[in-house]
Amino acid sequence: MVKGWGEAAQLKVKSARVAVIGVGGLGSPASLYLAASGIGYLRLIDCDTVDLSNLNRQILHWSTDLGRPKVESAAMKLTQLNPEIAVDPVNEALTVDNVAELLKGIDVVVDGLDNLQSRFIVNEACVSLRIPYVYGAVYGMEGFLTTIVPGEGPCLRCIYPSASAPAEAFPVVGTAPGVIGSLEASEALKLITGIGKPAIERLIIYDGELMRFDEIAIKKDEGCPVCSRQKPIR
Amino acid sequence: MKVKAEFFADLREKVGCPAMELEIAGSTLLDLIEELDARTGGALMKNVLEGGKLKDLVKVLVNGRDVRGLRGLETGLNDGDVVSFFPPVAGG
Repeated sequence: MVKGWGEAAQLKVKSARVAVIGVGGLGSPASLYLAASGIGYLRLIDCDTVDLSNLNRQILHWSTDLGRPKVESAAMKLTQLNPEIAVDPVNEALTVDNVAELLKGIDVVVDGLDNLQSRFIVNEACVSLRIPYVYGAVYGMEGFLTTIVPGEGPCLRCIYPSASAPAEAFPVVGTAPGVIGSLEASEALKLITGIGKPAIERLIIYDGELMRFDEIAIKKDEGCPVCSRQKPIR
Repeated sequence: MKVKAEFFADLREKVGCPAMELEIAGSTLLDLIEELDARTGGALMKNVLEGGKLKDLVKVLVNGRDVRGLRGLETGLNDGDVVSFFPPVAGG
């Protein structure tokens, strides 16, 4: 057995409530590993339907799912993988107005989004609701990850000091979100069980083109308009 | 002095390579950016600067330290420094 991963850790996993926001390239592998590991309650939030262009990386969705709501396609497979857990598909667009309701009762948020603007909304809500947020993003053969625990380290606005972000499409090689989504699930499990050292104050960089991992130290911005007044939650 | 510049995400495509080692005559980050811009046919400056300042969503690190916590574009460089340019990344 892996050190620390005994019955007590598994019970923590079983009683955990995790939201995966976006069940695309990142959210597919993340939610597969979370479901397989026995996360008791998994809320999937996404308003898109499955498109042919998704299938190079969004491994929860297959050619037989084209046109189906992603959360429905994802929930079906995750429930078949692990019928012992509760999977809650929410087919809604995330907005400033509904984000607090969508994250109600959630212990950890896992990032499966595809744009920076929605991530800013999630970041601000997580800081305000004091929910740990595992950030992941990809471009081409590269991926980035950090774990945001309100009050303990920087939030997304400390890293990207701007409220607005351009809406752009990002080309992605399928395995990059596979790597980062799996790492996001690892971070969520560590936060839930208390095992290991989460990537707080560290931006992990996966460079698939050169096949190397780097990390850079990231600091809380003491003047951050989103998180500068938060106290630690743990 | 000789420094190494690294580029990530779409900057890598715009500049045309993941990294470049080069001799620069000046001593600051701005000197390096100007030199890189000249060597890449104007690919860098317009993507990282706006109104003479670093764009809000672009991160530039010198040896892993964010230049916003140093002296910004006036951050001094030393021989052997590694300067990394990160545009915002948001795919998923």
